[in-house]
Amino acid sequence: MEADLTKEYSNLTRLYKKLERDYRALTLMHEQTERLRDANEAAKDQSNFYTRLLLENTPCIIFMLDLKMNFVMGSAHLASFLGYRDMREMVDMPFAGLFGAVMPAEWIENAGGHCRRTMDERRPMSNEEQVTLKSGKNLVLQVSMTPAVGKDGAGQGVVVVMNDITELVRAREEAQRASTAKSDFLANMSHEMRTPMNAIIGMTAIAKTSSDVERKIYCLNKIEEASTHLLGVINDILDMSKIEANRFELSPEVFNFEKMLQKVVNVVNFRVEEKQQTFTVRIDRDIPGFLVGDDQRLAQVVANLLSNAVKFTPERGEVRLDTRLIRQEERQCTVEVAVSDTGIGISPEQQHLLFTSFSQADSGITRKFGGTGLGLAISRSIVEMMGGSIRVDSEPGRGSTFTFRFDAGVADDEGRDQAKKLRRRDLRVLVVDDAPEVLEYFTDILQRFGVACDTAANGEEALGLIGDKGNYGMYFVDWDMPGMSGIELAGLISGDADQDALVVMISSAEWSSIEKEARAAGVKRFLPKPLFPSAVFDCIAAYLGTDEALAEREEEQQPMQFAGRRVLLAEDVEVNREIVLALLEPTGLDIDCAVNGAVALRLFSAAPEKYSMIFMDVQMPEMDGYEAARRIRALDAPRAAAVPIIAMTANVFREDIERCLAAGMNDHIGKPLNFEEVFAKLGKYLGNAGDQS
Amino acid sequence: MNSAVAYTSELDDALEAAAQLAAQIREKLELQKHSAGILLCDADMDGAAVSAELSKLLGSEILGMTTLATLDADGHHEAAAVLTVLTADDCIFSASVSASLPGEDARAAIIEAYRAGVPAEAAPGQRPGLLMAFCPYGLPFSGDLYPAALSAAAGDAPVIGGVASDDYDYERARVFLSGRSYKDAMVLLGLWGAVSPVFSIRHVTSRFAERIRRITEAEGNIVRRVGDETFVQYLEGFGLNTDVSDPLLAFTCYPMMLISDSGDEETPLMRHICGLNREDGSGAFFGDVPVGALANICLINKDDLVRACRESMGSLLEAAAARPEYTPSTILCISCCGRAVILGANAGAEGKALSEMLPPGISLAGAYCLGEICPTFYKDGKALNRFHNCSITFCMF
Repeated sequence: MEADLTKEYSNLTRLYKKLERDYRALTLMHEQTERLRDANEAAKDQSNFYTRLLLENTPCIIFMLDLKMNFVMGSAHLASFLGYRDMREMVDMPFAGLFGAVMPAEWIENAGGHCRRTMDERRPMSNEEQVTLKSGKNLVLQVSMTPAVGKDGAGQGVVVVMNDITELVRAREEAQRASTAKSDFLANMSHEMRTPMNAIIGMTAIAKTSSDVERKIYCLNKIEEASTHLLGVINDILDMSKIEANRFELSPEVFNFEKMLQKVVNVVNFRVEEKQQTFTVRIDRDIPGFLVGDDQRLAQVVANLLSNAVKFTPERGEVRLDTRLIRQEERQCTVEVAVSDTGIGISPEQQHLLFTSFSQADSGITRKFGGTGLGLAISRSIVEMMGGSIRVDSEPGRGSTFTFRFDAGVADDEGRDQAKKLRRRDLRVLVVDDAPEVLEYFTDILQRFGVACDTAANGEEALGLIGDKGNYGMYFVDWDMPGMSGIELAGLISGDADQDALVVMISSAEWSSIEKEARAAGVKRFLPKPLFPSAVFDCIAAYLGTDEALAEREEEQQPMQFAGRRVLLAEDVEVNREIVLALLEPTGLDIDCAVNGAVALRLFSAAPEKYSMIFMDVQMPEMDGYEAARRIRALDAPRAAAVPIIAMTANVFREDIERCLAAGMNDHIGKPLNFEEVFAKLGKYLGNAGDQS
Repeated sequence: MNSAVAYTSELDDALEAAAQLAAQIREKLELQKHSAGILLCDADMDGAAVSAELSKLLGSEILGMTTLATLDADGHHEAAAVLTVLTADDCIFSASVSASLPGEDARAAIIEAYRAGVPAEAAPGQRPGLLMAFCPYGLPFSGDLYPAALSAAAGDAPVIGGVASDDYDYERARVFLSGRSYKDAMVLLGLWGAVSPVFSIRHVTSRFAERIRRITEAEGNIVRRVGDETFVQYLEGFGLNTDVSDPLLAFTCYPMMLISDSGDEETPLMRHICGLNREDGSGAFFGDVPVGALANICLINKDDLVRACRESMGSLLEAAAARPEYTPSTILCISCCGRAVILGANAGAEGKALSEMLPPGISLAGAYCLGEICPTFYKDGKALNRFHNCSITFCMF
């Protein structure tokens, strides 16, 4: 009995302890639960605040519908899209009513169906759709619908997210068009590069197998033509690559604006003559003679526009280059250049694509006229880098006018000083041409130089003026005039025993083709069209015999002679050495060749005084041109510091040139070699006389 | 294999308790060639003495652990003991005990204990069909060490087991094996031969607090920082009292759910806090906590627990039904002490649910532990054994 009581007591004590434990545990749990609930409520408030912020600030249209398709909540953008001021105005509104004022009925029906299917099938869906709002506005919407499922797995409705991707789609289509254009461009490039390569390889094979000298010359001319074209294609691609990589830079220098244009015109003149086009150049007298800018790049733009104009203008059509000073403020000016033609013209749609990389107005144009289609894109980039812009005015069949403006610095205008030197009140000039614009232009130029000028539209009128006013000091006579020809008139003037005047023939025809006849008629000089003020100036100065221009001109015409001078040529490629040796042979230069920089260094070290100049390739085995130049400059010999070192390399980018100069070289000639440039450098560093510098 | 379960509330008289248990077993079960007994008992019972007497009476090895409460087919019992006897002709039961685990190398000691239990009849390289592990509480390492070491030793054989508990004084939790009681050693029972277990496990993860954060600094089972605050600050952010002077607090603090992207588990990892260091702001857990895991406090009530219990039992029975060629005899349930506390006055609800679902002829025994060991993934004989908290686990074999 006692044992049972003890056992009972023990059990009761044990149970009491357990109850005490449970009570304590429950008390703690209650307290903790209360605390947790409060903290949880605060966290939920915060979470709701974040949700509200998201919904108020998202640019998306977001909303949730319940199972009955009534509005539950949504983003602020939805409210503004639907024209509500506050979200609360929309609560419990049915979907169809909610969107009824803005969206078309068809969209509401479709979207409502999608929402119901999303809820029924418990499967998200998304689509992209074009919709015209009731306001008439067109939108592309990306619509995503997601079933709203509670924690218990029960469906609660649907969440809809709508993004206005109108701009995105437009950009995507633009990118796709660009991608297609790029692909087309690659195909065109392949064609553009393979075509001249085919000519080069084919004509070389023909020349090798032909024993006929004339045929060989014909082949060589074709090879030269194709090589020049290929070089242009490569240059365009490299320029565009640099533009796209943002590595395209300008190199501003002082340059003669008119001379720059003259060089460009000389290049395209050949094609103008071939197509018997009328080519007129007008240079605004107010444009400062010397500007500060990148004349090479400017020339590239003008050359591109002119070559396009010539290319797309039929035979006997007209091409015109006009320049105009837009503004000048102290040392800055803005100049406008316009190139007009009477060519095939360009439709408004094609104009839109003209200045885009990898696009040509019509891809068929590439096949018909050739070209990379990059020229105008490059031109636009250059002009924009010069602070200007470029535009086109054109109509199909009625020609085109490309106009661009650029900003440039103004340098000292040496041309005006020259003009002062020409002021001769006693000199009278008669200009005879059937083109009124030529007469007008001539009058303007000669007024600028302070020279008195009369004009006549034909030979008869000219003779009448001579009869009325007496003999003139100079006559500028057009070769090709209706009625009495220029040759005939020149003959009459020269045949007059009282005349002691200079007759200058002006013509767009090749001088060599009319020279014999003209000289027989007493013509002393020839002035090619289109006319440039500087050319007219030189001509008059030569007549007056008072200006150095004449001497310069005559000097230019003399073949360069450097007999007794020795040049070191460092070049690892044999064919390149052969080319230089062959082409410099007429100059009388002695040339030592080195097959790499190390050999060049050794040759020069052995006899520094022997060399008047060094042509240095850059990429060579064993020792490159940079290292060779550095080591030559470091030699302990007076000549080592003074000898001109000219880089002769295919590395032609601005940074390449800077690297050559940094290595101690004096100048740079790019490959493929332009021999006018090579002769110019020889003239610059050796002079045209025999003394050794 | 056959089995039977016996129950007693006699905690003070070891001989009497053993006699009652043995008598019930003899009444229900005819012992076959090999037998072993699992004793799960209140910490007030002298488990060593009872197991010693049972060994004599049944002629079998008896091993087990103390527990906060027991489970059997009649439900949840406090202040009681439950004995499950397994008997078979085609299965060998092999018990072993580890050396003291706080020694130099706990992992090596566990592996050695496993090896000591491999029966002489086992073929070279053979693995047990099931391994039961009863582990000591309060050792200075993460509970993850137990399944990790046993998986390595037993070639990924499945392991079911738990950490011994007591009445929340943390001093009287013991494991025992045939007459000897251990505070710091592990006892193992290997089932070698014709045994094919299925498992199920459930956490309760349906409701959370609104403060999910990422673990940013942790080492093993010590968490130092969560987000940009210390672990203690993180807990206080929930409004929770972090005064750890009351040992019950660790369990009444809600379990922490961890979502780790380590990726080999389908279910989130549940961890219970076992202590806080207010000086450095760190918290200790029963198991490892990986850096980078997302942490959140889990909200649990009795309904959630009973539902999880029913779901887990349902899954277990489904898995067993998928193998009609094998006839199971026994279900071992290892549940979490925290669950018992949350169930509180409704402690019987879990046992009631189980008894309603228990198929006829199957013995059920269970215990509430301070950490549960159960595979989360088990296929082709290879188990991914894991240490859990706040879970209910079942093994049917």
